[in-house]
Amino acid sequence: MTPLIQNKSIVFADISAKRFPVSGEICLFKNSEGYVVHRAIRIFRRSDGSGEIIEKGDASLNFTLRQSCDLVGIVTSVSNQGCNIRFDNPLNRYLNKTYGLYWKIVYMLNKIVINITDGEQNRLQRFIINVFTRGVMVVFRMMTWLTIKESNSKNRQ
Amino acid sequence: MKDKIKKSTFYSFWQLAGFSLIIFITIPYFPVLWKSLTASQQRLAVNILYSGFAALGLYLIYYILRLSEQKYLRLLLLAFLSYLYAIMFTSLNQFPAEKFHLIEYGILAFLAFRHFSIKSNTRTAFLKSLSFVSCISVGDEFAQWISPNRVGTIEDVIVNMKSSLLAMAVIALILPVEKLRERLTRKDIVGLTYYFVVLTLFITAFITLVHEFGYEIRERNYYFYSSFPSEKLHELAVYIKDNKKDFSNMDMIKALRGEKSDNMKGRQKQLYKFVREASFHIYERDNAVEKKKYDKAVNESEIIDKYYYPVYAVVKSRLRMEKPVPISGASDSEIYKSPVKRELIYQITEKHFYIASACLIVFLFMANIYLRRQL
Repeated sequence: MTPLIQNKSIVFADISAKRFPVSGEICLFKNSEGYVVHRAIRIFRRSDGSGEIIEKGDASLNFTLRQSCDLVGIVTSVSNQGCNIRFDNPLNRYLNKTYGLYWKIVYMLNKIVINITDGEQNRLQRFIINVFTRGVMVVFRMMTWLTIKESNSKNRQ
Repeated sequence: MKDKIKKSTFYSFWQLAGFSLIIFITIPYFPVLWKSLTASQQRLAVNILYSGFAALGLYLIYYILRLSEQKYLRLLLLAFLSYLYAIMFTSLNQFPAEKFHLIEYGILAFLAFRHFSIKSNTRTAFLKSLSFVSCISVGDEFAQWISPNRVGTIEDVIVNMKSSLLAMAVIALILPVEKLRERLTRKDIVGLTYYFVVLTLFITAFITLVHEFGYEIRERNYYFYSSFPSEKLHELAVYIKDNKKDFSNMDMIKALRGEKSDNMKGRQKQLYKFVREASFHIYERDNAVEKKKYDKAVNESEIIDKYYYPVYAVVKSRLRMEKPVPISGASDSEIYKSPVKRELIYQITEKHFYIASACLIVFLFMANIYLRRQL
């Protein structure tokens, strides 16, 4: 979550909040190694009260899916070496929401990009090579066809 | 007729909005896609871009030759614009991916002009589309600032504005002369003032959030940016060398690691900033990413030896004591990724910048009020 949360920053989270976060809010999750503080990007709620949250750290492009039961609390403020940032004031709430909305839209592209850039020789490279080789093949075929046509017409004459 | 105008406004607006959205959402993934290509494929992509521009140029020559008025003047201007495009392309040789900004913002400027020219006259449409594209460019750089793998700077905003200006010049080249001669009315100017106020606010907010003000220090072989003028840098270096009580080696190592104490006073804050700047130069020297890696490293060494020598002396002694240790506290994330707090606005001070923006906004509002009274 750098640069917002740095080494030795103190994070205050409301663990009594029994609600789903809004897109863009910073949340405290528990995982197998301990706790992690990341930003909620997309929230999927089910009617039975359970759900899933897609979260992302500010310093990375990786989106992670977490179960709502892993959510411990919602971060209310961060203390960075004496400088306090509160997230419950209207300006920061609005900024967080805008930030969340932007990444929510970008998330739609995520799967497509991962799909085409994955693997040793990725799909994008294969696509470019295919288009290039096919283009060359088409030009070659056309030229062969034109040459044959020309020679045929000469033979007829 | 009204229905036709409404329909074309609707379509041009959604094309403009859609293209702007595409610019915004592809920001984090453009480097991912670019890096996934091999070097030869990247070259191929850039060559395709050049070919596209060449084809457009040929089409423009054909189009101009078919026009009845001022053919040769237009051809001369086209040659001049091609020269400007060539300069832009060569100036971006260091980062070839940036060349796509030229085409991106060219298309955006074209779409904006098409949208605004439906209801306003040509000159107003040019000015409106220029301010609109500049606002989008500032928004684009804001999005790059929050994106972990991009860097948002005012220099890029300027490059984008130049691209849109070039595209608009190309559009002006093929427009009929009567359209270009249409004069601005008072109503147009009133409308334009709102656009310019929004643009000024956008740029002020961007510079306030993303940049820091400082000084450009030029030498014969290199130049660099600093928060202090060169005399102050010398003074701070001597102060650090002589006054070990105020700023001990331990303080310096802490500053190199980016650890800030809570109770720092005026001079100590300056010294902390000085050490951080030194750490960035040491990092840049050891991780020069440019093509001319050796030159860059040599220049950075010169800068360190001349301006930041007491800090480097501590780093060197620390290296001798224990190995391996981090050479400086700076990292990729601080220098090349957001927030770009170390990219400095130089040659103008913070105070002058804010006064100038405030004056401009006040002037625009006053012009707006004065012109509205006369309508």
